[in-house]
Amino acid sequence: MQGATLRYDGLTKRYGDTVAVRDLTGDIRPGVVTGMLGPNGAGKSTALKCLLGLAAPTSGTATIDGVAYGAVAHAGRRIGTVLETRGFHPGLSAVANLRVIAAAIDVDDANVARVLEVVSLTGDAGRRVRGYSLGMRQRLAIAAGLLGDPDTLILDEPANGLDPHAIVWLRGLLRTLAAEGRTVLVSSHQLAEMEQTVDDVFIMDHGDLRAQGGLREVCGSHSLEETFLALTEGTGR
Amino acid sequence: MMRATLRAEARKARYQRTTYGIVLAASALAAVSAVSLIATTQLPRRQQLPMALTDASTMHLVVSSTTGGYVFALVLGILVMTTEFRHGTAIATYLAQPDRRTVMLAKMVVAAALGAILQFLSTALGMIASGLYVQRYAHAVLPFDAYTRVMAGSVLVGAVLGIMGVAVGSLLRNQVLAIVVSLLWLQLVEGLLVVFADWIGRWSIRGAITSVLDIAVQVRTPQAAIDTSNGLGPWASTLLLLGYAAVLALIALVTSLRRDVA
Repeated sequence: MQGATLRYDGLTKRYGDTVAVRDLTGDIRPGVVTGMLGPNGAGKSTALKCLLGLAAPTSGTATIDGVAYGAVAHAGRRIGTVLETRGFHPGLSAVANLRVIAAAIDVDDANVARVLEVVSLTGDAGRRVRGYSLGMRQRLAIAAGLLGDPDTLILDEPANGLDPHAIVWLRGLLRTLAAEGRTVLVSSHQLAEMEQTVDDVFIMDHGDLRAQGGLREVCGSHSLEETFLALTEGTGR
Repeated sequence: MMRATLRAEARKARYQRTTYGIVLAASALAAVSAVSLIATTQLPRRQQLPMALTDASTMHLVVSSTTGGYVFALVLGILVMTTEFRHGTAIATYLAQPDRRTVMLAKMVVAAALGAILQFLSTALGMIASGLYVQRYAHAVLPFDAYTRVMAGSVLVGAVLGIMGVAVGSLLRNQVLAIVVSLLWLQLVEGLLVVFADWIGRWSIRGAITSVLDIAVQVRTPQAAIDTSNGLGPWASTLLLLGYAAVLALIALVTSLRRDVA
């Protein structure tokens, strides 16, 4: 399976006087896990929303294989997403929520049972989402992202609320998907976890891209945390 | 992809219990309205409205009162859109179908169908309830010829209000705000405007609805607060109502194309 190449070209996004992302340029390639790292308010989520067509860039472009998200054929199937702000109807069961998404992206309902098994929610599939813990909701979001068997996966803080076992499982899942040739872009501020997961990094702070490239290329002999703190006005390096 | 989006929107409506609750509420309102109107005619002379069950206008009014659940069609339309923003599911919707025109159109089609079904069921229940209740009075004459035409007007109004609800929900997004503003507009603001200039009534949404429902019944009963004698007439009012829905839908579409989802 060949994932898409994601590209930012001079992307800037403003909300009034606030610049959320400034002149972001860079490529995310298939076959590796790319981490978009930065503290809260760095602009990571905004950059992802612009890539997914949920927010309009003020200037510049964010493209998937050279076109905007809206122009990607079968975007809902090809691009799996796990966004922090993505919600589920609390009055519906996990199965019902996923069946709605399955209908929307035009995949067979049989996939619902498959992805629920992947995220170990089969036993709770009939329960209303209202009663789910944060970790269960996060696993449901990951299930929704995998529903279309996407060649490209974009995840915003996917480890939030997951217990240690689930974090290890998620790491394995992302590594496996990338090894299959898919594109995997993960936004996170959990540096220790990211260091064990990603191949390439984008490090952002206050809307600016501070560094990008291969993990070892960017960090050299330092840890990701030390490099990150130095680049984001910390004192680690 | 329109078919897939339509299927997803239909599933949302089918899976949510709120949909069934609103249909039940509309049906109860329609039945109670019609039955209580009949009962009102049988109150002691000093309290009753000057209507009699032997009067054709009164019985036409009873039949048209079965359409009173139409406000719930508007609420259903609002919920079709605002539930997405309330629970954050709008993101999944727009990721699955990035073309916002397709999403808006699918929501309007589903809301129109829901509004039509709601009005069909509630009006039918109101007709059955009032038909059974009026059997107590041997002198009452049911205007069977009006039933089909009242039902047609009711279903049309339900469908159009469903579309208008989606448009309002898209513009305001906040569920409570959208419902409160819509109901205040329909039930209070338009009523107040008519007090100051009665010609506004014929051009108002509520006036148009009343006239559309008058496709079947030429009600001339000012005492019952439904005087359609100054209205535009049923067909012109139908066009007016469709025009309002089209303008609202267009504004909602243009706005949704420009706004960020999240």
